[in-house]
Amino acid sequence: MMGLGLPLVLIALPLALLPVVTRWLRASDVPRLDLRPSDGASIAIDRILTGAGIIAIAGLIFGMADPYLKGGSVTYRGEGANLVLLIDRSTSMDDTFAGRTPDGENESKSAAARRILQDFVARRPDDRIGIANFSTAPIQVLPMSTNHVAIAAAIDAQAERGLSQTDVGRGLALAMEMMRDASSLGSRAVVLVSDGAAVIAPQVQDQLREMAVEQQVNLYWLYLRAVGDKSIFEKPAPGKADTPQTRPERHLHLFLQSLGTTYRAYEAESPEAVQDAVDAIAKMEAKPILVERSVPRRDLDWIFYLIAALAAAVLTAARGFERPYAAIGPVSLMRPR
Amino acid sequence: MNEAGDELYLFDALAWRLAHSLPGLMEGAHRSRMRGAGDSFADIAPLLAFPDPRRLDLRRSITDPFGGFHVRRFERRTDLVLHILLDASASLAPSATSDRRGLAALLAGGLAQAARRGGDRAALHAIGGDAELAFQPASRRPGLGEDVRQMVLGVAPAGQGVDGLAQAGAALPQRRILVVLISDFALASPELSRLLDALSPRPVLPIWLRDTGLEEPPERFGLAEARDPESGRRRTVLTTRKWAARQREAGEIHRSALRGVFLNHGLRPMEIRDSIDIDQLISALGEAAL
Repeated sequence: MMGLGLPLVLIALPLALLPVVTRWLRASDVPRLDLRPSDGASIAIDRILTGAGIIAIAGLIFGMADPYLKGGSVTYRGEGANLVLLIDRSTSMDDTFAGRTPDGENESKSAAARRILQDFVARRPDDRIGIANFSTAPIQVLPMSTNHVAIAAAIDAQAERGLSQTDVGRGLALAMEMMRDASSLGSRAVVLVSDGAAVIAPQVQDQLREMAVEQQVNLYWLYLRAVGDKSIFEKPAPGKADTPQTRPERHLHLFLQSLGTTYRAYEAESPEAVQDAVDAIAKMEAKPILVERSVPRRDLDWIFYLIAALAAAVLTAARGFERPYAAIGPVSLMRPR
Repeated sequence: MNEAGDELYLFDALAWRLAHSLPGLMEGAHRSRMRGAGDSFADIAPLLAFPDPRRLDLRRSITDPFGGFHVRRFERRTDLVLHILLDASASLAPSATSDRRGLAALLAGGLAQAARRGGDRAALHAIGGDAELAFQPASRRPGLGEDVRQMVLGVAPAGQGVDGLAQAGAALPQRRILVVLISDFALASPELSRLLDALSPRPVLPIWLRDTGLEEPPERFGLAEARDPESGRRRTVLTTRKWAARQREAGEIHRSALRGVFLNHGLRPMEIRDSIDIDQLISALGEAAL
């Protein structure tokens, strides 16, 4: 749909008829044109010049009227998923996988996660993605959105230093809450990126169970395990305590398994492993999804200015070829005797 | 102005001789139908019918078996009025290689001057469209040539069509005149025919002001805008060699058609191409069919 920024300018549009009444080239007087033969090429050029004049003026006026294509949203069927990236912002994420302060060679876990997630998001243009983080309390960073610029910026914004706590339960609750904005078609998934876990309060556990059933969310846990941490899949040695307090990660894993939705956990001990895990998630979460892409308003005035410039170029060229009809320079009245 | 005066004297030698003798009492340079004193012998008449004993023809009187007296009669000379009919329609103004207004003015002035020298009177009618743009009544006062020339130079060509010209021509007297029709004859054949019809049976001397620049446009490639000064119509033309050849050819055909129209009226126009060749003008006038 076309719109005009300054429709009042179109009042000047009758000016475009000027070339009909005035002529572009300087005229020389030639008597009795009707008795002289005319040829097709001349008639064509005559019309072209008039037309070019009309087009040039009309193009300028239309250009000044500031035409644009109205923006809007286009719905189309893409391939992707509704994703909520739930990112752990605890202090330990700022360490490397070796548990040290990052130096030039080894990046921190959060930096690796950001880099890989950025890459992941960039490869999936049809995804509807929301971002939340959690540490002491969950924060919604970006509601579900298809705007990949905003998503990339939101992921970048996770570079700030983390806080001390890891309240994964409420983070998950927030992520599932955000799923309400998801598109009805397509799969829903929460990707939890963390390097640790904490005890989830029983009330929160109940809430999560309800929401998981209600939202039909696929859960992926990308566990960034530092060297020396225990695996979430590993059962404690006999005689060792197996309580949520001592092994919060393992018990979170068990809890998520018990939710009754699709759930996968990936343990990654290096950026490469993180990459593999993300690739696996990407593969699994590629299903048809309805995507609404917003189309921005597009200015069209340049097209009209271009047309006007071309028409003006035609007129300028015509001026370049202009010459008087006949040689000017009367001879003397009397022929010398 | 001075230069103009200098040029006018060249026309003094211009003279015209009509095929028919004219009725008329005023003394002039043209053959009259009146008989009397003169230098060319006409006929012999009885003395009683033409009682002028000074011109008694002795031989004829002696040899007349009936004893009658006879008198020699001579052709009297009479004058005429030169009516200069100038087509000052808007098409006279455009000029390429010739200054047609200047030519028309010089010709009108020169003819008026020559008429005065030859004992004739001259009148000017400059007609543009339906309007009379300048009028000089018949006169033979001194300085007439220069006056007529300035009058024509002061005329701004305007109007279109031959109706005004034809009307002015039809209003002229039919006897003892010579009509000089000065025009660029940018006319279609029927228009010219109408004009000449209106002028007949008066003796007419058409003077055709031609401009070779307009007849033969140069061949250089380009775009030219042509404007018809009479109708105001405009046309952009792509000038090429082919186009120029076509224009030239069409002009040639058109002019020969016009010459055919003149011929049908027993006339031959004096064509002046770009500038006046006075010698040619004098000789052409000598043998003009008037």
